Amino acid sequence: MLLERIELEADEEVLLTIRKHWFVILSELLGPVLMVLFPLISVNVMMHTSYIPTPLALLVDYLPLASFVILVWILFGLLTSFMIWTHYYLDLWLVTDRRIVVIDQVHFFNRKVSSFRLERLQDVKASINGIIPTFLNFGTLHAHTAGNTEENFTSTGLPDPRGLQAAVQKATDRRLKRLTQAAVLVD
Amino acid sequence: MVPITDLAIPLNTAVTLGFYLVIAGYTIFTFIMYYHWNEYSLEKSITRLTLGFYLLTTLPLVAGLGMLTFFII
Repeated sequence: MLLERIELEADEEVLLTIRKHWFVILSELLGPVLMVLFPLISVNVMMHTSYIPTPLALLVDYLPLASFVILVWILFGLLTSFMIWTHYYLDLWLVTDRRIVVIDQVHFFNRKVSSFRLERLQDVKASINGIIPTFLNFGTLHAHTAGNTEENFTSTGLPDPRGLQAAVQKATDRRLKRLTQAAVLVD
Repeated sequence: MVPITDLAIPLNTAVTLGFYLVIAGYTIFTFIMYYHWNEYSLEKSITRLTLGFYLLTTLPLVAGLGMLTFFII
């Protein structure tokens, strides 16, 4: 499983697991679902209407072949839906009390895993752009890190980006405070 | 020049070939799905649910395709 692969530190605690907003997967699944339903609705319409007798006659003449093509079409639609669900579920932000792990599952064979420590976090920016994102409260989160290699992490379609921004900021503050206390104790 | 009608493959062969191609594609896709969920998922219960639902919805379709293939040929 994933957490074993990330290899969290001994007493590292996972604070948040964030996946994209439900509207994102719903809008992505709409195409394949319509693709699956299209032949079923078409056959149903053809069977209940007398206006298009030729396709119906053709369908009856080649019923096994037509059924074969329709089943392949539905199977393809289902596989596409499962692929979208897999990408949605495996694409996530993991906020622990020490770092943020950003996993971007672009395709089946394109997976980016980035991790940065909270003390390196310089800036977190949340943005909501558009009518639907505003009403459903989802948007983009940008994380900017400081250090020798400056990096930016951006994820779109995250739910409640301002709440996430606040949570990440709070975790960062807590981490910095703990590090300062540890430094004072060492001195 | 060879006429197109002479090059056309019989329907039985086309359907059988199509079925084998679908089976090959489905097997590869299933393996990729299983690998990804097994390696990268956070919760075992969601993995089991997804893979179970996947097999429950797709296997009857593949079985149906097999039966139709044998019916057609």
